[in-house]
Amino acid sequence: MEKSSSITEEDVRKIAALAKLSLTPEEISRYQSQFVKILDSIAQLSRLNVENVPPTSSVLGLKNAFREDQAVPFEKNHALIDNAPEKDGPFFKVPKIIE
Amino acid sequence: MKNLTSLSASKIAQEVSSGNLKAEDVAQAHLDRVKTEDPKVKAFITLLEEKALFSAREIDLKRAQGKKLGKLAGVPIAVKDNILVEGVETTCASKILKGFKAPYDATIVEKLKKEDAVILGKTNLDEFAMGSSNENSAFFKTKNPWNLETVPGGSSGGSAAAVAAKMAPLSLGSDTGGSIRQPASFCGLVGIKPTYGLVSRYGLIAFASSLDQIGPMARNVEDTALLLSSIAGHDPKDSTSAPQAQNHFSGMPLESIRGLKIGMPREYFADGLDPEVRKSVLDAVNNLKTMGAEIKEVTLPHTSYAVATYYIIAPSEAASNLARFDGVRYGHRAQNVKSLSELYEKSRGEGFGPEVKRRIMLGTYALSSGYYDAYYNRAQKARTLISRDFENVFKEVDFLATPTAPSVAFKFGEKSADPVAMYLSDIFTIPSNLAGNASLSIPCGLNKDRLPIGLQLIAPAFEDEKLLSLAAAVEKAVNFPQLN
Amino acid sequence: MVASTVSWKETMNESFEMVVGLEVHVQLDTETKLFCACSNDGFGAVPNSRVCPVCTGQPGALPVLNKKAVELAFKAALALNGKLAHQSIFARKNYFYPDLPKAYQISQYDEPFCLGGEVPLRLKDGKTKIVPLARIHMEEDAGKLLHAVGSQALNHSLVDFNRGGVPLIEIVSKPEIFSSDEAYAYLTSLKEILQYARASSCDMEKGEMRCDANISLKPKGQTKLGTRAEIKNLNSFKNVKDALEYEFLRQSDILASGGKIIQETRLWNGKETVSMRSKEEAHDYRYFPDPDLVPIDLSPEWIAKLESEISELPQARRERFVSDYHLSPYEAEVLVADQTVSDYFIQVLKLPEAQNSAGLLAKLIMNIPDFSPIPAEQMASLIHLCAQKTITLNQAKELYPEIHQSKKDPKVLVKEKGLAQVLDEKILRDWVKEALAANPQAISDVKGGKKQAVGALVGAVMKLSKGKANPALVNKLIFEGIDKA
Ligand SMILES: [Mg+2]
Ligand SMILES: [Zn+2]
Repeated sequence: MEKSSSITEEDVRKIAALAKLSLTPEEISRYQSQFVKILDSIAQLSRLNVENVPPTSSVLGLKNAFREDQAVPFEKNHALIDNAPEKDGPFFKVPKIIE
Repeated sequence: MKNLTSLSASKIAQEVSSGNLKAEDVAQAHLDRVKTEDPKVKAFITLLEEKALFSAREIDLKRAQGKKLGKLAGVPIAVKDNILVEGVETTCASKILKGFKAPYDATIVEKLKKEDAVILGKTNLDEFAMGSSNENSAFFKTKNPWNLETVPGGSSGGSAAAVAAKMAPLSLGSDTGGSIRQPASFCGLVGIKPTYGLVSRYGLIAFASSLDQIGPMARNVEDTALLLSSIAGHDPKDSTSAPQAQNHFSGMPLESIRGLKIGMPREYFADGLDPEVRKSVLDAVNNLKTMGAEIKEVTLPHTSYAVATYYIIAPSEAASNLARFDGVRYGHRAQNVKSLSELYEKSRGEGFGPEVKRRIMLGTYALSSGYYDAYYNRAQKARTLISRDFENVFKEVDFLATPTAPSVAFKFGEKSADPVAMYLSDIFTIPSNLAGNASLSIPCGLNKDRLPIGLQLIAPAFEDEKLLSLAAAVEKAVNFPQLN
Repeated sequence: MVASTVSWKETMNESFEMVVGLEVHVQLDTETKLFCACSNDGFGAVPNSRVCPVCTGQPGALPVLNKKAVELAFKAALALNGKLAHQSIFARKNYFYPDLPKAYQISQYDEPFCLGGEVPLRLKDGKTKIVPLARIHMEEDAGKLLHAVGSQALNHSLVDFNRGGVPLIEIVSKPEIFSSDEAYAYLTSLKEILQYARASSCDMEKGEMRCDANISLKPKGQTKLGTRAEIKNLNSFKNVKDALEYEFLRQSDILASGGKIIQETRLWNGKETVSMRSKEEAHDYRYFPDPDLVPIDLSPEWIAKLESEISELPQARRERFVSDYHLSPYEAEVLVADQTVSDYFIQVLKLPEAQNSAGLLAKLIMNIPDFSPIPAEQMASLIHLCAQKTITLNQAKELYPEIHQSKKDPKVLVKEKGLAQVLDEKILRDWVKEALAANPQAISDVKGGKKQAVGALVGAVMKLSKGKANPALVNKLIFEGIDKA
């Protein structure tokens, strides 16, 4: 966690690539300096003793929320396609993918 | 009838049900009020004028046919624009969702319709509910009706401003780190973040799934309870919805405060708290003492870790929740792209605003390989400690009383340049989201500039009914003024 | 494949051995998807007609877990001898791709529902082996991408989410498969077990069972593993076998000439494995527990209930077919290989007419090409006719397609066609007499010790009887006749 303040613009670019966000050079430099501040402010967590403390995995400890295996068709599936910025008949359309 | 916009929701429902008032007149009066007030306040992103009048007429017709009307008969409601209303554009105040027509109703919207509410429109928010001032809306800034120079708070600032300015008697907000309570405090309203799991999240556009909770905002406790009664309850469409969730809340003042134990957590009254806020909150607590409550100083030792914990967990969940906005199935899609990667990066780069990008990046970083244990996993452990603080303290006291926010509504631009300063404005509200307990804000006074101050009351999980009843008792004692 | 098969065999004798781990995705036999109420059976349906807000990743939509899917996954794990976790959780696997509408797949990561397990192999040479499993986890399937319509390539790609959200289990073996034959046997056995557990129909044509293989080479006799390649797109058992053999050659050629294997994903195209275009950035899936779902808590009572619902598994059934029905191990193997056939076999044998005729029934079923069942009652009558020697097994086999088609009672059909066997010794003796008279050479051959010459005589009698003579009786009567002659 001590690494946080050494976050570089290259790190910011890598994170942006992972998050699929195109950023301008200005944004990269701004986020870099803000990241340093934000990460510093949350670095205090590294001083907290969390030995033998389980992570919270369900806020109120709920378990086994199930649904019965019964088909209920969604009648308005056209509404789902209608929102697509680009479509082709019943399909959503994306740029050609070469595998 | 005059002054329809000053009526409480409970009164409107009662009068419409009994036929003394027409739902259409109520809707029209509020729409007229929007026409005069909203150009100044700018609470609404979408006003559903025709739809509102149409459903009001339907309600009147239903009544004329002798049918029994629902709990919210003819009550106009403003809905935060991150909650889906079928066929209505839902934007999250983001360019990335411009033009997105909701293909289904959120569970709570279905419930509102069943209770004969009239949905007036969709209100402004910080983009994707990320913010504490409404300055992060991609469209415009909502103003605080108490003073147009100041922020209404956030992220449910539009919903708060709409009710404070009497454009609607009720509104719905969502609260991930204080997004109902802080704007309620800034706008002089009652706002509750119910226990996590009490209200269905199905159809609420997720910011941070384990922290988000929908809740009502109103000008009084009874109305708050009325709306909560209409939207609460177990929803099989939401796996995190609590099977034991009840759906009846009276909002009537506790008959007696005598013997109630109310804790004042030391950490919430530390330095940095606005002196006027401190005084007003202490006065309210003293009032309770006068009424017979036992006041105890208590400690929640991990409070100082809450903001850091929150700013790891919330962005991590958000980074994943907001990944679906990729320009393929809905919303903004970049033009003239040559590859899939470019489609994603440009659509998202153009569609999201700066704060949203900042949090997506922060969350992506916290979850990335090599950092998961140091950030996300450690934060979830800290969260366990913060929850245990509450469990321990609720063995000693029935409720906690704290300030809702460290200050009153601040001026536009005052904090927007510094994300960390802005993050600290949620310092008192965040712990309840982390622990999942019930927490509300109720007005307890005005400062010398006539800006509202909020008292936060916190109860153990699923004690929402008792929490509202305590708030009703405070309300009676405080006698907070309304705007004209 | 002909050329490479030759060199494959040559290479087998050389110094390398393949080390293979298989990851098999199997679709669970539910009505609906894993997290929404859309129909699971989108195969061949209109594109994007089996979709809803949940499985198209609409804003605000939330997943709710299908209980049946969980139970089928648990049953698969129990049938594979896996260790079920008392608590398991779902995690989000984050990456962007158009077939993944939420930009994350709901899967399981560090707390899967099953650890361990085993797949028993029966190899061609009669040997057996156990391949241990690393884990089994549940996850949702992705949608489907189209890059062409028919043979016409498109200048864009299209997305169909009918398959998106279908419940899968991913079965991950340990890298303890050492030949392409073992891989084939592994898949055969796995499929059998999953079908018997009623967890999946494993219909590969419909993509209900798909396989990825990790393969590395190591010098024979050594334990250190080499760099592995992952081969994707293996959608038949034969593909797996062919691709592994191809990849073994490719890697051993590289190693033999002093080259290095690079860790990469390769695609089987039916002839060879080709390197997939390397992704611009390394994968970092940023797994974390899905906050929209709650843990699965498995009680001992629930496990007991599921265990009681699992019917007989293939190994036990094979053993029982040999011990109780006195079938040969080969017959048991063939019948049990297909669960519907072995279920049918058991069903027919329960009927009074077929009792004690297991051997005949097995032979009949195995002799009928592309066997597809007739009503069990009719099958029992048919077998009864054979057991009573009214007709021969061969006649039953020839009659079968007609019964299947006309749905007529076998007894009626046999009568109509005058097929009943002649068992009357008086009639048979006349035919034998005639045959002996016409074949004096055969008689002297038999007498001279060439017992097989009797075949010609039997054939002659069968001809005279138009095939209706009972062959066993004919045989007996011919020898009697020769003795007298
Ligand atoms: Mg998988
Ligand atoms: Zn679906």
